[in-house]
Amino acid sequence: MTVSQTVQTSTTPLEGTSLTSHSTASPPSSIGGDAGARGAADRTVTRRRRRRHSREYLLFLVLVSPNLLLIGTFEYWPVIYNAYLSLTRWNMLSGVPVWVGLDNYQSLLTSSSFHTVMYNTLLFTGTVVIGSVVIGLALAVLFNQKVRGRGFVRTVAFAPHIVSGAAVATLWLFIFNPDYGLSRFVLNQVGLSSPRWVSDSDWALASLIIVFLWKGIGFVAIVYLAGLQSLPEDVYEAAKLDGARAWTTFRRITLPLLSPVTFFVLVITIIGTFQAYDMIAVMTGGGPGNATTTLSWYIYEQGFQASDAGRAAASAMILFVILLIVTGLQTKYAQRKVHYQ
Amino acid sequence: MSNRLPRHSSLRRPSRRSFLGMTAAGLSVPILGSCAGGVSSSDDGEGGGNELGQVDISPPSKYRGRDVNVVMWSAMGGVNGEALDALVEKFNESQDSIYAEVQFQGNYHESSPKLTAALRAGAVPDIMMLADTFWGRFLLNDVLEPLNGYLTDDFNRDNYVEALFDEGLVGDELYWLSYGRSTPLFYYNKDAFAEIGLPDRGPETWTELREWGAELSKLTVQGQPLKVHAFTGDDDWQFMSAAWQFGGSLSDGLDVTINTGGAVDAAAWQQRFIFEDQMGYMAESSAVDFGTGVVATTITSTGALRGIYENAEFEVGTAFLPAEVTTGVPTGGMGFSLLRDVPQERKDAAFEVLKFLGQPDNAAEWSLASGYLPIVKAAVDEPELAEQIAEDPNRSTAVEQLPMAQGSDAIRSYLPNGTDIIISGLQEIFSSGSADVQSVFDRVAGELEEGVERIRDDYDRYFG
Repeated sequence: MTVSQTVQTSTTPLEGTSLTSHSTASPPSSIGGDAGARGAADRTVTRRRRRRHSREYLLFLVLVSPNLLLIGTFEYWPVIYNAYLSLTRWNMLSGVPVWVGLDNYQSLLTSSSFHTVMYNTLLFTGTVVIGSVVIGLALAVLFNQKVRGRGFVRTVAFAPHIVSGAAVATLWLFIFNPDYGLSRFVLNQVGLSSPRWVSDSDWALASLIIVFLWKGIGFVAIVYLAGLQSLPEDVYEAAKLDGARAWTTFRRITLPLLSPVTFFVLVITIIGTFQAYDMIAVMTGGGPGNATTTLSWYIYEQGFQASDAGRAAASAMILFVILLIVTGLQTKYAQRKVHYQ
Repeated sequence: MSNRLPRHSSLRRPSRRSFLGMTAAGLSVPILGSCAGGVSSSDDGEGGGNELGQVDISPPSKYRGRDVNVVMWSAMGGVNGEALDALVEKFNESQDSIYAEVQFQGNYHESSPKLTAALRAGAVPDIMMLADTFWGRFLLNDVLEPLNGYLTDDFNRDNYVEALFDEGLVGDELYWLSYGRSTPLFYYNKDAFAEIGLPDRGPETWTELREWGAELSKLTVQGQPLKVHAFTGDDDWQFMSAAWQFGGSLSDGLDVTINTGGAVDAAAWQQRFIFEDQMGYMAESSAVDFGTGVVATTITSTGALRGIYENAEFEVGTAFLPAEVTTGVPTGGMGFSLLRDVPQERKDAAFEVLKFLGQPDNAAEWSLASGYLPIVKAAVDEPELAEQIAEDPNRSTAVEQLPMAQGSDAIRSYLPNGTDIIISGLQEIFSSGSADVQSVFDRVAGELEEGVERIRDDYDRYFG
């Protein structure tokens, strides 16, 4: 009731006269005299309705078509066309894509470099996601304390989030430089020598994770902070009265109450890391070897270095399906477990 | 009235089913549209002879209204980009029927996919700057214009350093006109060499470098031992020369040889030099590291000389590349190609630009500004360049080494991601002392061979 009223009020200005004429001119079909008259009335009503219907559908189409066209052209069509390309072989230069069925998928799933790519992707995403949640929450708890200058600290922590990935990556390349970088200086102070960060296959992925966390954590912290500040006071008072310790309160009250926020953070971070591209491009180019080649970088490599549209498209479909599954699982989990206020 | 509202509004609102129907209808419009577009454009491509459009160009008012506008896509930034801009500006001033514009499109790796996209979109530049390892992929897809017809009695192979000119030939037909060509040079820090009493020359062999290295690494820079040699991790050009010097190669034609003989020896030698001897490392930018003095020697392009001069606070020395089993010097750098399906008028105008750049005085100006090799024979007689070559021994090193040089192994030139696959393998070896060279290169060879399958037929059409 409330909903439809809202709908009506909100649409009234758009539909103008047709609405007014309808509400005054058409009697409800249940009112009528003998069968014939009723039939005639019904027919008139139906005809009117039909005309009105088509007019309204037309208006509907006119109103939604710009959006539908945009979404269709730039969202759905690329996905559909990509799915088609993934079943072809094409170098993007010569004539037309050649149909090869599932060949691209088969060669991907059996190739050892693709296994490395998937391993890198999972390691990268997993570490960044867990790191973001843990450190982000810890920071948020810290920022939530009533200490002087916390506004400033919050701003500082959030700042990296709004800097572009390429700039952040360039900056960190300087920091990581083993010959004149800040990291070398800091590590030397504590008696350690700097690893060759991005050019050492054992450290390159770790470098990326550090930078990605550094850039993303401020955002996560702010989201958690907003969550913390909207928590109800009364449950904490009750817990206090019952003599719960700080850790218990945090684990049994804060964490469960924050689960919608955690859910949001998980979705955002997982999608963000799966799509990580700019920092990899600037910092490592997927190397050394393929130590930092994640799925999104691999798609680029196949598409624009190897000019292999089919294989790139197949990898993109795999990314698409993974994200679809992740989102599906998260939605399902969220419905069961997440406590919304 | 109030109880009619819900029904009322449900009447006005389209049902779920019809909503979905309309959504589908709305979606299918762009889909069908794109299908149609796809089909027609590929038909045109097959037929050949269709005319490619031009990318956007906006002549400044003083050049507006000329008969033809020509766009050049360039991969040269920085000092070299400015030098090229200046020369093209000079071209615009030299005549009044053609306006040429240089559009910087990022490095070779960035500009090449842009050309692919431009070809699909049907609007292309008229002159494309392509690195020696990038034009092959466009050749194999039949998009490059044969250039013999544009050569004249006074502008032809005879004007050019033949070996460099010939690298653009397929059979007898020219598809790629050399411009910014280079070879790698061995760079060394003369001050460091003098400090420990080494001779003022480059090592004759890699083995000699290793002997010298033991002394060099006793020096310190910023509190750390001076590194002896910076290996390049983002290019396989230098490694190809090492493979040659150790008696091997990356490929013979399209037959992959990187996992055999000299190539494996070279990589194993370099890996030992890095991890066992602790003398070398994989640099993020070898030219920068050398210029800032953290490493005593490196191998990088002749084209890097100017940049290194600007950085270095020590005396810079250059030498021929070290030999080992034999000598090996690859050429590199870039040249220009035209695109086949561009209207003739624009291709003619485009070649006028190339001719202008190939005039001895302009070629000399380019070499002076960039440090690239003089590609036009008469350029070295231009007073300024002649003077510089005579005065700066580092300039003459490249010119003297040039007769030893030869073009890249085919796997780098024709397989689009050939270099990327090789670089990835090299990085694995250069970044880990425990990586087994043979098995890394076996994997690399496998990936290369997989790629070769896709281009073999096209390659054989031109070279078979």
